[in-house]
Amino acid sequence: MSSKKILVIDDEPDVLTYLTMLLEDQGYETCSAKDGLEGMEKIRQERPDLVCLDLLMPRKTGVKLYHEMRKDPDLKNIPVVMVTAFGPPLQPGIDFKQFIHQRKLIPPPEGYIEKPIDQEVLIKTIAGIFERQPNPFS
Amino acid sequence: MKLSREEYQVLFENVPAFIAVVDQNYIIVQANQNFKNTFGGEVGIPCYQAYKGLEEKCPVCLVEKTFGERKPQVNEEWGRTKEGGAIPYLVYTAPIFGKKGKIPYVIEMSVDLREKKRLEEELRASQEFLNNLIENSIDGIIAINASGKVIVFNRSAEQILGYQASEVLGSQKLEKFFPRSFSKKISEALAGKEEESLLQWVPQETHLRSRGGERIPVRFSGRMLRQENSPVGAVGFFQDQRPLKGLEREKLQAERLAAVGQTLAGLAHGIKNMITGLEGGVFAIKKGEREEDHSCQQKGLEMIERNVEKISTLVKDLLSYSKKRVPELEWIRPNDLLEEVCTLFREKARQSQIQLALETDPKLGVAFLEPKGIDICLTNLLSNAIDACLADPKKEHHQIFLRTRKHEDESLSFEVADNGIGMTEEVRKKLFTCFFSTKGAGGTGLGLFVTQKIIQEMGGSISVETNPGQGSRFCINLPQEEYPTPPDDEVTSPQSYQLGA
Repeated sequence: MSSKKILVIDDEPDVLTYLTMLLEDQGYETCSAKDGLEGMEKIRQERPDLVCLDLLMPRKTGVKLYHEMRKDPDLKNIPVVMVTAFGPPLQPGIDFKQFIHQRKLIPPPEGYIEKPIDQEVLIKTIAGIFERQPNPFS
Repeated sequence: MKLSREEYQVLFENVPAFIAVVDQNYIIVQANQNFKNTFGGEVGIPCYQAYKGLEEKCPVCLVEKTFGERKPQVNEEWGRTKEGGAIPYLVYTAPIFGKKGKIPYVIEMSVDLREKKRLEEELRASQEFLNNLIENSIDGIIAINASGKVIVFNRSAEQILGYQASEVLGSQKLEKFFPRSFSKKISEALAGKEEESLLQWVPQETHLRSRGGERIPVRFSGRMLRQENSPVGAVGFFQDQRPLKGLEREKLQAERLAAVGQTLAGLAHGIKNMITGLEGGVFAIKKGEREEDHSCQQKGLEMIERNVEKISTLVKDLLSYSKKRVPELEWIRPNDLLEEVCTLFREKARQSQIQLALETDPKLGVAFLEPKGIDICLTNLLSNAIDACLADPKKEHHQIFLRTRKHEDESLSFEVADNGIGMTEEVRKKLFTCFFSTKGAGGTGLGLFVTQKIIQEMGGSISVETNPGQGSRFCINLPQEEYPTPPDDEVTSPQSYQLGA
């Protein structure tokens, strides 16, 4: 079985390094992008099997990128795991999982992980997604 | 040329005055048409009856006096017209000498004062009206005359500044009641040094000192008063801004509370990312250890160092900017300061192929500012301008324009303009908010927040004009109005002058 390719999009270089290292350690192939615009380019170029997406980024936010992906018939089946530093305890009234799919009837992302990242949870979430879903491009 | 009797008769009848001749019994023996028409008086009746409708001689009788003293008299009287209306008139009496020095008659010549009284009354009413306006104006009004003396000090001025009009009227110490630059302008104008034909001091926010020494925030506008091009005085209008400032403070307080929530959220976001970076470092070190990969360990170590540094910077910034600070003001040369900051950035700008253009205002000598604070602000603005140029891929040629300006009202400004990427309205609105950044990992979200805080501490303001894709212009404006006169244009070693609390 060829290894799955995961695209990590985050504007924090250290977070990017961490996540790619962690995922490569799990045997995944990785590629990375440092903001939403570059992220979109990489999605089309690299055709990843999954996207790890930060929410708050310059140029194009993760939310916007996610919406674009879900509206694009070519990309809408690529699973997305949101990895974000936003969290309910300190963002009263804003639940990002809700926020993402409530508007315009866009489905929620396949996974949602909060920073600081629990390695176990991230790995399990990603593995679970791949078990349920075949590669949309294969 | 001698006038004939007929000619005298014409003159007598038509002269614009009332003429009557009376005998020693006050009986009118002759009267002109004008007198008859107005008073209805006739020959043969006593003058007091004709003039005033009285039954007996007036208590003070000018005719009697003229007979007695044998010389002309003059007085203002009130009479009654034939229609019954009151009529003021000015009466001259003169003896008419007969044979052997006897005075058989006295001639009374009177001028109608009705029009004059009406005008006087009108003038008085209009003056009273103006006085009422001035006295009851909600604005403080102080006016001075051509010799530089205070002639108007209205009730609001009394209330705002705490002086009594009586102790101020006539005073020539203008700098006590007017902003320094305005009183200077007045003195110059009154001394004939001011060339401009019309001089108006645009309304602006400044401070006046009350009798008790308190600094009163006011909105002040002044004007030179001129008549046919020569100065005849000056007037200043000012509004007490204290109630407004109170409201502003309350609003600021509310905004600050809202900002605290925002700040906490921003802070948590930043810290979570830094913790993730630290965890990444730990992960890399462990992985390097496991796989005996030294470069991976090194990478992990660097990640940890970097994020520890970020956290400590963040904490330091937070601590220093949550404190209320009194700026340490000194006499400095703003032009030199701008040049210094510019020099620091020249190399970076050259490498990035950005042209730095500097224009300093030669009129700007020394100013009372906090050099450290200004340095931080200019550095922030200039480094932002460079980032804005670097982030803009569209233009071939980028330039940053820096300049200083000295204004009419003695305030000064620093401008930093770039033709970089510009900002959307959305970004512009959040610009000065804590933890707002468009630079992702590159920015702390504190730069402009801190810049604004420093400028406000010096009593100034910062504004921005921007167009997406075209560039931005930041302008720092710093008032100098309330500071003392600079020491002979020489910048001495830091002088610890603190504004009155």
